[in-house]
Amino acid sequence: MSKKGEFMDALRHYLSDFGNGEREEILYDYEEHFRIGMESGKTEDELIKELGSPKDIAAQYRNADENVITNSKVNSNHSTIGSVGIFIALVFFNLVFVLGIYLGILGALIGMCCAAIGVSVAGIAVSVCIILRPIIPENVVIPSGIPDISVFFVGIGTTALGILFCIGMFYLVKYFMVVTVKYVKWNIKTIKGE
Amino acid sequence: MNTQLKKGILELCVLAVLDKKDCYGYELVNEISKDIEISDGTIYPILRRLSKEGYFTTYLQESTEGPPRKYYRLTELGKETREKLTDEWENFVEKVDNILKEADIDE
Repeated sequence: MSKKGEFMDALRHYLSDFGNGEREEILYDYEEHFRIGMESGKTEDELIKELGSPKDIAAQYRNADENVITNSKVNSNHSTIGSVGIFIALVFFNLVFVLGIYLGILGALIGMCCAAIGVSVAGIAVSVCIILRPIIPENVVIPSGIPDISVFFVGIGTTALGILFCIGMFYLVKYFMVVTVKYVKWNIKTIKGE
Repeated sequence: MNTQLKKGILELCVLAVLDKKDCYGYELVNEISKDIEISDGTIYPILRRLSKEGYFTTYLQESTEGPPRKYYRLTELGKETREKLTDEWENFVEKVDNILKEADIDE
């Protein structure tokens, strides 16, 4: 294999984590560089030396990718049709399969959060009512067959349970958000063909 | 020369060269590397990134010596940015010069 072939292979290898369309576009620039360089009389060896290390070059493309603020509007004419196809497929898949399950889980989470809050409030309400028994109007019902002090502690225990429940829900919801964001990002990445 | 600094300056140089005339990749690389000592391979990533960020448009032009070549042309945004960066550079050089002069006098 020619030196140029080795160089291009090495560069292709270091860019293997890039999307196909993007990688081929990058490699094309170097193919052109070699072609024009040799037309103007340079040797492959000279050109390779002037270009520098394929690994460094790949690193710079990778680096640059993270710095791009606006998404590529100008260039990717190769991968557009593929992207549209994938986009449609993903939308279809998400609507039919993912959305139903996602909404179900979301609903359950909301319900559980309400329950957690409800339990906590209920516990507080019970304890408070016991303390305030003397000044509570006739029509508010308070358990009377059980000693007041027991009911008071039941109230506190329930509140504690409720608070634990709330804390648990907090982490659950947080995790759920993280997963949602990751999934959305994966979708976007897949559409762009990276 | 420090790499970060070089990178910023390279961008300015690329914008400046293209401001004068449209170039194809190899031409641009040569223009710059004949004055500044860098690996030619470092310029293409810069070209690609600046292109994506909207500073150039690219077009193919027929060439007498072979397949069509990819030319870069500065956009309005590119021109504005080039002016801005040039001002910053001149400012920067002036300030550094001042510091160096003062340091000299103190010795």
